[in-house]
Amino acid sequence: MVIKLKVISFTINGEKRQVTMRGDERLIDLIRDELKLTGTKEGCGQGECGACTVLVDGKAVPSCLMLAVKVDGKEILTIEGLKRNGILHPLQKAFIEAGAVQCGFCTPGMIMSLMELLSNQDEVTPEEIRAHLSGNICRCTGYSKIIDAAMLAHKMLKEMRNHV
Amino acid sequence: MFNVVAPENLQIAIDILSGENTKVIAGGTDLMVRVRQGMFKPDVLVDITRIRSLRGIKKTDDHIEIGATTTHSDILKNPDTPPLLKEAVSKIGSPQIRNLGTIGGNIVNASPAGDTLVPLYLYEATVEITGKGTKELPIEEFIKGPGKTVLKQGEILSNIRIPILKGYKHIFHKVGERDAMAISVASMGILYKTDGDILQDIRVAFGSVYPTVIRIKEVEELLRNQRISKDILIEASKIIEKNVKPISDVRATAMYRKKVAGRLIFRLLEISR
Ligand SMILES: Cc1cc2nc3c(=O)[nH]c(=O)nc-3n(C[C@H](O)[C@H](O)[C@H](O)COP(=O)(O)OP(=O)(O)OC[C@H]3O[C@@H](n4cnc5c(N)ncnc54)[C@H](O)[C@@H]3O)c2cc1C
Ligand code: FES
Ligand code: FES
Repeated sequence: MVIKLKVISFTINGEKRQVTMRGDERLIDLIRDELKLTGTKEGCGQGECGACTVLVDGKAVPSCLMLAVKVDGKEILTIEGLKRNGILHPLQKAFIEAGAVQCGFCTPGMIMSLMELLSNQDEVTPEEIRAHLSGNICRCTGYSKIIDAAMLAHKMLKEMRNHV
Repeated sequence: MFNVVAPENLQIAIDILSGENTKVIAGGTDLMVRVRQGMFKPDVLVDITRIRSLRGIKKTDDHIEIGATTTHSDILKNPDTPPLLKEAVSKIGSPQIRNLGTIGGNIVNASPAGDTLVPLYLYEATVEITGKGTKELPIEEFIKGPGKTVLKQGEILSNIRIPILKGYKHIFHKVGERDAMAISVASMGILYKTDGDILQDIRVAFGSVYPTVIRIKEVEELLRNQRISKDILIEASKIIEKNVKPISDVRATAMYRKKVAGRLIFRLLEISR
């Protein structure tokens, strides 16, 4: 069989890119190996842990289960894209402030999942946060600080919205 | 290694799929795991998620039609989604899996634990197959066994049609090792209609306790036009244990599954309270 390389165009963290990928390469391979954005982590590689979560067209997806060529024409957001003009995103600040990071391996995935939730909802409860993080596993924190961080970020985002 | 094509046109997809060692990929949440484990070595994957006509939810006078590549998240968000289907879909995997995974992929997987199947059997949904022509089949005839459907090379599942049932309520219960991400050990769905405290109509189906999802008509007949009582449910429970044929696997033993299935029917006591 002839393996054809495919040229794909997409936007990642606001920047337009064009790369050549093999059909069997995954989105996480594109992000980590091709674009060298190593903030996104691979844990299980099977959709179970959420460490590899990124946003594609605003939806949180496990990048270990998605073929890279599927993002042709789409918009990707990874943890590296949250910072604006050198200033951390409220979610990143809240994780630091609440002490929600220990080894940090799950953190980018947690934050990207929460990005999806908090960008789409004006009001959110701790129960909704727990439910939304059901696909993200953390081996260190016991989760409660992560829920605290999410509630804090929610508060910060709400204040920002009320100021504009 | 394999190539991926992503046609926007259904007919082109069908033509490519008639070739040897080609396979459909929708969300990929099942296929990717299997391909990476080497359980399956395709030459060409046909990504059908760019075909507009296969995606979305439509309401007609008496049916809800769901395109095969509609994701679980889109099904959850749609106000027209039949309530029992909505509840079952909300229990699938995690938000990330639901954003990628599709209803068509869940059906074609034909897993006895497939969470959309219990509702689809109960609503008596039909599925549309597109190949050289199109045909429509009841879901129970589409699924042949664990991982087996009637689909042939060059055919895809294109659409799902669910009759709208008025005045029915539902129960859905999934028993798993934990709340999220758990493939069910046993699951039960019920659609019922009451007249006072009499069960006017009832449909009962189980997942994960038989080679396919299974409706137990004998239990439905026993309970129809009856008042719910502990005694009648004990009888129903015995019929269920007699009808299921579970397997033992990493998640549970056959005996445990049989007992759980039998006990689940007691959830009906809730409606008599
Ligand atoms: C972590 C994890 C948790 C999960 N939890 C659950 C759960 O709780 N409940 C549950 O039911 N499932 C679960 N699944 C399984 C899976 O996510 C679902 O079955 C999902 O709906 C599959 O859809 P897909 O679009 O991703 O399928 P794909 O992986 O794209 O396809 C699956 C199979 O169907 C074929 N196919 C897909 N669409 C079509 C079509 N339209 N026509 C013809 N063939 C087609 C493919 O060729 C392939 O053989 C889980 C999976 C993972 C990885
Ligand atoms: S690495 Fe993708 S979900 Fe675990
Ligand atoms: S902080 Fe270590 S896995 Fe979550």
